[in-house]
Amino acid sequence: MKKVLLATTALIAASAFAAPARADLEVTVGGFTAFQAGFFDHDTATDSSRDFTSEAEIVVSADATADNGLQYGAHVQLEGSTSDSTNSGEVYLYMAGSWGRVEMGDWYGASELAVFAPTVGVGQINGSYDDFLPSTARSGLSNANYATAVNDRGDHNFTALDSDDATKITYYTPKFSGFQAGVSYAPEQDDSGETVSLTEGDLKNMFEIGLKYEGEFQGVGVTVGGLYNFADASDLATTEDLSAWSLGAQLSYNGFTFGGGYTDNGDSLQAEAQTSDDITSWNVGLTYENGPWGVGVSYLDEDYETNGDTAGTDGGDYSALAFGGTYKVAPGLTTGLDMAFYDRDRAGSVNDEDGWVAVVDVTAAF
Amino acid sequence: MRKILLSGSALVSALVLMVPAAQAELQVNLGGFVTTQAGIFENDQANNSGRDFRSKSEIRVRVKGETDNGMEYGARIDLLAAPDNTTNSRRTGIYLQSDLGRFEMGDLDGASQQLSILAPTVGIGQINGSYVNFIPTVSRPAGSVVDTGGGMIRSLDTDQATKVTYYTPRLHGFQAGISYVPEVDSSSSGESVQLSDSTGNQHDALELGLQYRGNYSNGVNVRAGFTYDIADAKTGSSREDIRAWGLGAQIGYKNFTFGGGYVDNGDSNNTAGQANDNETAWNVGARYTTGPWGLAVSYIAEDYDTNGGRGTDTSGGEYDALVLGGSYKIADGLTAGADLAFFDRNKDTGTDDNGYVLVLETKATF
Repeated sequence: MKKVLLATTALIAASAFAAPARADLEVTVGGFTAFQAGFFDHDTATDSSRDFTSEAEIVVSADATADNGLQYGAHVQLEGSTSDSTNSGEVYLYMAGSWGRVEMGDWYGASELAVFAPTVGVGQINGSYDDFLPSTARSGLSNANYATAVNDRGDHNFTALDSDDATKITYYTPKFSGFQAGVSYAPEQDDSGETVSLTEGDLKNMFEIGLKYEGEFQGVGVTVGGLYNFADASDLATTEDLSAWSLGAQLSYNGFTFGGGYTDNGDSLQAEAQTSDDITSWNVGLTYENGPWGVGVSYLDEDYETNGDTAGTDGGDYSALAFGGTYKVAPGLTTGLDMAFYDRDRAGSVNDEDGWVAVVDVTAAF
Repeated sequence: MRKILLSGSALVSALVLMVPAAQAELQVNLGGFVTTQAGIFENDQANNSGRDFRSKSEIRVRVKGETDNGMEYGARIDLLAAPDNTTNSRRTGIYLQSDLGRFEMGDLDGASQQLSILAPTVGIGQINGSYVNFIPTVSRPAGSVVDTGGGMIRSLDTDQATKVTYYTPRLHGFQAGISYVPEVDSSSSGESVQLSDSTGNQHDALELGLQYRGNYSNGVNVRAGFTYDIADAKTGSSREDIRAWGLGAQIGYKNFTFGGGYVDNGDSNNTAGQANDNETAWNVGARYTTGPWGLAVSYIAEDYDTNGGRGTDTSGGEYDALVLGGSYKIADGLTAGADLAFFDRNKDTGTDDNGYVLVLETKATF
């Protein structure tokens, strides 16, 4: 997202108002409005087969550099959709310098260093298609324990389970020879914003540790990222601790990017002492970008042991193959199309679901 | 909406920042309003409080850009900012505009609402204004399809349900528009998706509108609008389909405008199979404006068959209101207004109500 100065018809009044206090802070407003038309076919008998959605966000950023070189600032992401009822998605402040960067607030943690299959536009396997899936066909994080305990960002196990935007503190090292590391600590996973957890939630003392490498060899870009995330189940919880890792890599050359990742969530957050309940997944994808155009294809495969589906003991697997294209029409205005085929096979062939989703997207970002 | 610089504490660096950004051609405006109202009222309801204050606020972001070939595009987000708002925004959307017309996508008013013509109003809005908020809910006039109140001033439309709309260019004063709304109910607004064909009341809605605007050499100007709204009741909703139309016209000369409209909602969205539940309404009004002053009076009469009424209310009878209003522009962006409304709800079955509402308003718009 790019930042843009607001339009000015009252320059004098506004600057006179702002000057005395934070004269060195640069405040910018950005955000986006997106419209999507979804067309789909599921096993559900009463399938509505199409609907429109819209999403909007406003992002206010304030950034400054102090006389001693300290960079600092704040970031507020206001949720602007007509269906939103919490006011902001993420808020944090940061301080940075030659020593690295510290971020504090309700913001994604060191798991941002993760690498997985490349995508374009709407996002293919990591995109909006799953908004148009019945919740019973979704997999992994959207279910039972995970949904209440840990983020359902993206709904799928692309990377190790993380603390999403729970209130946390994160430290990123500077980049050394292409390497960057980060570590996050969130005392209570369930806790965000002004809320204080006076009693232990489902997960406590959650750490995210990430390491990423970016380099280039003879025109070939190489990106590798790994995560290890862990947390303790609360003393009262009857679920397992969280211990999950993922590893991914991408190679890029002449507009092509190829990559993928593997995630092992183990039996994180599953019922305590339950056996055969590990969840693993892998993904792979290829994109090609040329000027305003981009196309991509990616595949996701999740495997649940017999008791591994967090919705219960269905087990089985979930897979999705998604194609996508995107075109930048004008500055800030993009359009895209994704086509996804998904298949949820439950062990014992009960309640299997499969189908497809096509998403047409128009986004105005500012 | 007025434009203003956001916190302009770093004018120079912000301007510099703007240039290299990818969306440099995009203009972002921040606006909005804060309205405070004092209502003094009397009605037949027991424990009538007789007076209360009310406030309403919005923050509005407008984004505008232009492609190399002259097509204009942009986005809008209207954040609801009153302390009791439980959803974050009311309208969000994207538009594309060229010589071929205007295309809108998102949670926006449709062709019916945009092209309809009714009695002229000023300031707070008289029959189309805030006085209804100071009337007991059971005595209010029939509302929109999602029953937001406000009366049958227009044919029954889809409000801000997620939609696409196309408006033709204006040719010889005529402009037509058509909206398509896959799912009308508010449960499908914003990011929400309605996956079921049997949940909710109305779907596959079309709003058709035709408007004429003419300014004649003798100083007379004419506006006329026709709207037609269609939607299919969903399986299991036990509602009637929507088939509603409205017709209105205004004629203006010098500082005076006179006009009115007629609305026939039939038995739209009422209980399926129910007899005698048609709803019609007419309105008429006059307006005088001079400099910062505006004065207007308007009258609305709604007629419900024996089983018709507000939403699925089957009280029958009629509702009428006579509202006098004035507005004064105190300064740039600052207006004051007063509306005095006399309303009368006569039900065929149930308790009648009548009374008056005086609304005093101060509004700051930026």
